[in-house]
Amino acid sequence: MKLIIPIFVSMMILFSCRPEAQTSARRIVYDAGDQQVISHAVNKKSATMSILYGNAAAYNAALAGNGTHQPGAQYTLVTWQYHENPLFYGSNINGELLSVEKLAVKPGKTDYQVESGKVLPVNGVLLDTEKRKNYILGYRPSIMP
Amino acid sequence: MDLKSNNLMKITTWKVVAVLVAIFVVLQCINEPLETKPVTAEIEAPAAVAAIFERACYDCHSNEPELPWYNQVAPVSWQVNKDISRAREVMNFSEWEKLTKGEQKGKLWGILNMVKAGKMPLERYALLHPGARVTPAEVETIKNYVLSVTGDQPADSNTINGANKAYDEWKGLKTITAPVSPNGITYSDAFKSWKVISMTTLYDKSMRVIYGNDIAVKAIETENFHPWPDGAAVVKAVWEQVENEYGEVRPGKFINAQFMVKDAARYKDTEGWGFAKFNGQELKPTGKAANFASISCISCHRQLAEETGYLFNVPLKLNL
Repeated sequence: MKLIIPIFVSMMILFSCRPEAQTSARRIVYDAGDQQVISHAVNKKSATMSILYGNAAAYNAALAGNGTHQPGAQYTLVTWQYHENPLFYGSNINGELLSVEKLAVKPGKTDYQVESGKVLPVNGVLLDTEKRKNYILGYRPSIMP
Repeated sequence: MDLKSNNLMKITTWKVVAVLVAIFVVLQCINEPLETKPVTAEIEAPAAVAAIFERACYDCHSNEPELPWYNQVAPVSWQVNKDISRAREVMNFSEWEKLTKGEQKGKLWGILNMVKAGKMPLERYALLHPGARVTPAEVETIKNYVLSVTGDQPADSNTINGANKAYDEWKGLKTITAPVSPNGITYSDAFKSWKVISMTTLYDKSMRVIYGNDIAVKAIETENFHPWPDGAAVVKAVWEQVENEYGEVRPGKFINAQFMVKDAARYKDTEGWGFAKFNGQELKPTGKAANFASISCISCHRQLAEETGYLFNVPLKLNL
């Protein structure tokens, strides 16, 4: 009987001081370095969202839209899975990072590499490297006053 | 207690009651009745939906409140009238058709989200008016109605042609003199060099890219939302959706850029956030008076996004 109070007090201390369960859940902001947004796309079939970033040379080439790409232009296409926004029904928001593709225009050639992840099909077709390059280079900048 | 002190106590009690009654009567004389306004442009919705709105929302969000008599007795009436005036400013079913189609759709999605999250009717109202609560089945009825009005429809040729025309116009545009929102927030395109914090679509009708300055990005990464640090700024750029040859959706016409700037001392009425919206390629500011956001923007942000410090579009929390 004498032990009841000490046991009760010990239990209170034990449970009240227990630290919150550690979780690795985090909010991530993608860092595109010195590249800025050229445009973006949503693929409803695969529930993905993409943003195409580029440096100034890439942006200017996309804006000119004449198919001429000067050496030095660099592009990054980032793709995420999207989900329903838990804060607002009717809205979708990007979630897990699926892939990062890099494209660099060099004299006489264009280098393309998948920096991370796996590239998904477009319209049900997995584009080969040349078509994928054209797909990325074909983005028209979003209107941005 | 002797007879004399007993009589004194009775007299004192009566005096107190008399004073209270007098105060009560005076209060009624200075009690301003709720402003009565005509029903000029009532919402036209299917009967089942209209019935839910009338029962659950009309006491505050229409010009036809049917409140029990005691709601108009001071001092209760002061709070009730203040609540109703504010509610009508935010959304009024009796003046619904005065809104543009776009505004109506926005309000409908707001209504759906409010009732779905159980934020409306307000708890303090529902406690006294339990019949106003909206059941899960009724939420479903509202949802089906909202989807039928605003649902997913592919962009037609007008949308595509409009997007192409807007794009050509934009390319030919010279720099626009920085417009200023009525609350003093000035448009600046500095956000184009900020990091993108998220990307969203809404109702399958618009697509958005949301940028955050360094203070905002740091707050997101450290989950520092209560409160967000002063100086944090977030800009959401919004476009129409246009489908391309790859079966994807790409940005079409530019709709607006929405700013949220954190300054706790300056924007006390809106949880420390200054709101601004610049519309169309000419970036026309939203709002007639400096307090426009306190009767529009903040209502949804306050009710639905409290957990992230009143922002809807912080990045999702992901397990890594």
